[in-house]
Amino acid sequence: MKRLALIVLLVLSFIAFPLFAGGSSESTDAEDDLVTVAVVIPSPLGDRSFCDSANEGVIRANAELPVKVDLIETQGVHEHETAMRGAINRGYDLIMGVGLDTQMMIDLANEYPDQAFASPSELSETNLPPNLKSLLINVNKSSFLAGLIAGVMTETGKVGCVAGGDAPGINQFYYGFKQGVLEANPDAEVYVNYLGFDFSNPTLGMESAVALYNEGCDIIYAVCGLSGEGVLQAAAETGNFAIGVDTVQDEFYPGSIITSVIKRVDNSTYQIIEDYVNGDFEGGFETLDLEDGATGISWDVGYTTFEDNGPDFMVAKVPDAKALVEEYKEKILAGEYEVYDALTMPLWDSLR
Amino acid sequence: MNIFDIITINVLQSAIRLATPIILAALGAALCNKAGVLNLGIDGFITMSAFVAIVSTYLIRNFTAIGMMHPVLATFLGVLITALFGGLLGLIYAFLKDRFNVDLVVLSIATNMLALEITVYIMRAVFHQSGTWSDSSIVQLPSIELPLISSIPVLGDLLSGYNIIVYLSWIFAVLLIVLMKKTKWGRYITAVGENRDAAVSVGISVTKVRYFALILSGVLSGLAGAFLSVGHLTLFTRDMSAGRGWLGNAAALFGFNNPGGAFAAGLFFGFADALALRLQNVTKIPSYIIQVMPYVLTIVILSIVSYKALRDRRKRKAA
Repeated sequence: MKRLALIVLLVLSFIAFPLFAGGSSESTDAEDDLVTVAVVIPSPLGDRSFCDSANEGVIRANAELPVKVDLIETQGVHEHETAMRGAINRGYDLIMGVGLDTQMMIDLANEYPDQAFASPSELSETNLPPNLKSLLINVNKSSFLAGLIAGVMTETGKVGCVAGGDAPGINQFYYGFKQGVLEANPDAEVYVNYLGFDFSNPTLGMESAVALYNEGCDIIYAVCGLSGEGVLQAAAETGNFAIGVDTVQDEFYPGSIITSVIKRVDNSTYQIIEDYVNGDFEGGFETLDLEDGATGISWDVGYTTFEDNGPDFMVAKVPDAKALVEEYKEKILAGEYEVYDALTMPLWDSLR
Repeated sequence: MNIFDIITINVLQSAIRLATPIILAALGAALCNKAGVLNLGIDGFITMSAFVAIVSTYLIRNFTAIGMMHPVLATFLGVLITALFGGLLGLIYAFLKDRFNVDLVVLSIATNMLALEITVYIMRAVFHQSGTWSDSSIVQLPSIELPLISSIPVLGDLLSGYNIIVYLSWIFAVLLIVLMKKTKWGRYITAVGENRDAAVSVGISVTKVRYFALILSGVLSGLAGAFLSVGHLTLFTRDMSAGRGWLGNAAALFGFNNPGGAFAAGLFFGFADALALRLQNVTKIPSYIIQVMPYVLTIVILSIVSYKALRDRRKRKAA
């Protein structure tokens, strides 16, 4: 019996070895002349959000720039600092952390003043050491455009938002959206459901969406990570509509998802690497916005999934929505119209 | 505003749907606790089962003749396979406990860690997706309107129109209540849990009891997993159980490990979630207050229940 158990264990370990050993790829000495970059992401790939998006930037940089970029996946907050320190010890020229803890990034930058650090997304702190660069993508204006679309297209005059949690980073999406809805349709009601920071619970996302649809909403903006998958499915199942977030989600349920608010972390990741390669790397805080092409709605990048698959009565309203979006986009870019930003402003009375 | 404006039929239906996986987990956990084999691996069982359910449904739907002709049947078969898969996990637990006297707590920690990673690994290796996987060919478990009951006003809406796993959770709850309260086998289970040596001395088979409890808790977790991935939604996401197995363990303790109590506690957790969603829509209470409410309510109810239990015990002592 014991021998059998031993054999089973041995066989299992042989099977398991390639499974677990395949994870990391060693960089070789032959590539010494290339600039090396490490990109640490806060969770495994597959979030259909900023991790995947950062990975696209990494792939593009590897293909187009004379660099060797390694992507380092982590399993959660307990591994973040270890992964960052591991990358520092391996001597990368530039180390990027995507959506990691702000204070940790600053502390590491202070501890290693000769090492270049950067964050392509989610690091919102203006006072940074000179060797740390942060590009923050503001999503309030693009959410505002999505709000305009929802305001024009709603049949019931009620629009909802399922938000991951009540925090400034998430509220930047929500209040931008709300302002857009009210701008296009002052009589509309905007509901919000917060999920208590449950970003990977599609079951709860779905029930939350169903509750809002029962309340009479017909369009819901899903800002809650993987929980949003449930919101999108609820839209398709109940014959209502949703607006996706972060990446282009229009094609998940064609005809049910009106548009998506996209956040181009791939571009910001690529841009930082490109700057570094060109010798233009400079520490400090910078924001990217509509005008930089870092964020926008899926319609702007050529997606017509909803127009091709949506029900006629909704598709008929798309041209109006598009015209309004263009009108406000010009106003915003010209500085004639201000969109509320939950990250930097106290809440406006008009949005309460 | 009247309370019936807040707690509508829709809220109660949502509560039942949210509660179902917790109830299934809780029933399994309660049974294991009664039998003296603490099963903390239920959360991992659920995650793995959710994955097995959607993958087996997908395979049957696309690669067998039956599945191609009857898509809904493929989903039912997927659920059945998942229940068996859950049972198999329970069987492995029971075997390891029985043959090697493995510490189930340690095993459960390993199971939960493994469940999270292996599902993602296979998803990535086979389906080239790593966070979410779904396939449009998969058909969701249909909602079933119960004959007779669905025609009753109000109550019909409340008790009818769910998928089969919801009804199964009720059936299992009733069966387990009957089992524990009315049958000899139920008393054997309690005996093994409360005093193993005494049970052995009167000739009760500890092994059988443990196998029974762990396998059944596995089957129930399997159903809970299938509910998440093909019953309520038709997709799998990383860490799909989202702590529902742990909530089930808590609900079992909450209900003093009685199936009836565990069922009620599971239902309560589901209701608290649904109510938290509803209150955000119809009241002006800030969301952070609403979101602590389920926890506060849990503490309050737990205090009341334990106080009552304490008083009963004292009364019994005095008498």
